[in-house]
Amino acid sequence: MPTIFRYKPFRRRLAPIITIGIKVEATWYPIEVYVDSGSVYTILHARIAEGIGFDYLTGERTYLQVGDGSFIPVYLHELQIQVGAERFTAKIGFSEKLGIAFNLLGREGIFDRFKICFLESRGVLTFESAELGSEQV
Amino acid sequence: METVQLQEYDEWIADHLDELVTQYAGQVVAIHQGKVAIIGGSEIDVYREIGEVGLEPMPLVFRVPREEDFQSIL
Repeated sequence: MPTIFRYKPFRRRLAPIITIGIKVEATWYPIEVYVDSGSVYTILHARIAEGIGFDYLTGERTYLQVGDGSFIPVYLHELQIQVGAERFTAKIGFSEKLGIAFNLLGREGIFDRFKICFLESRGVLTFESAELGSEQV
Repeated sequence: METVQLQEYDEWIADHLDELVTQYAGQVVAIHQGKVAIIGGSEIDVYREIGEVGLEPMPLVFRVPREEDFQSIL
């Protein structure tokens, strides 16, 4: 059963923003993310980690190139994520240098798990599971 | 987290994004039970207040974009 999300309308424009869950330690946090096929990883603003008291700097540090050609540090963690009714583990990055306002839902661990359809004419995004052993809740 | 809870937050943002940007651009809000429950200047402040008040289920904490943020993303 695919999960259908509405695009988020703003001033008659549509943004592919969806609500997902991220589990940090024992707590699930709902988070807004911009679905971005141009991003390798899912990347959250470091201020979220700071807000919930998660020491993101302990993660695997990598550098990702952004639009202006510069590289930003990203700290990767294996965390539980929930998209619709599916829970699974994926690499989630945190960065204090993310130069846009939105958190990003990137490809690694996500785009290989779902068939994702951007149907802007109908204002919906559809996530259809490829059934790779995720937990249904 | 309950799937229906995620869906409710997602629907709420779809229905209220315009007014959030109008009223709270650049601020951090906590959405809980269909309304803006907490407004703050940072995620640290808002999550701290959530803990102090003991809101359940976990609210959706959302830094409200500014109008120009929608135009600048590639």
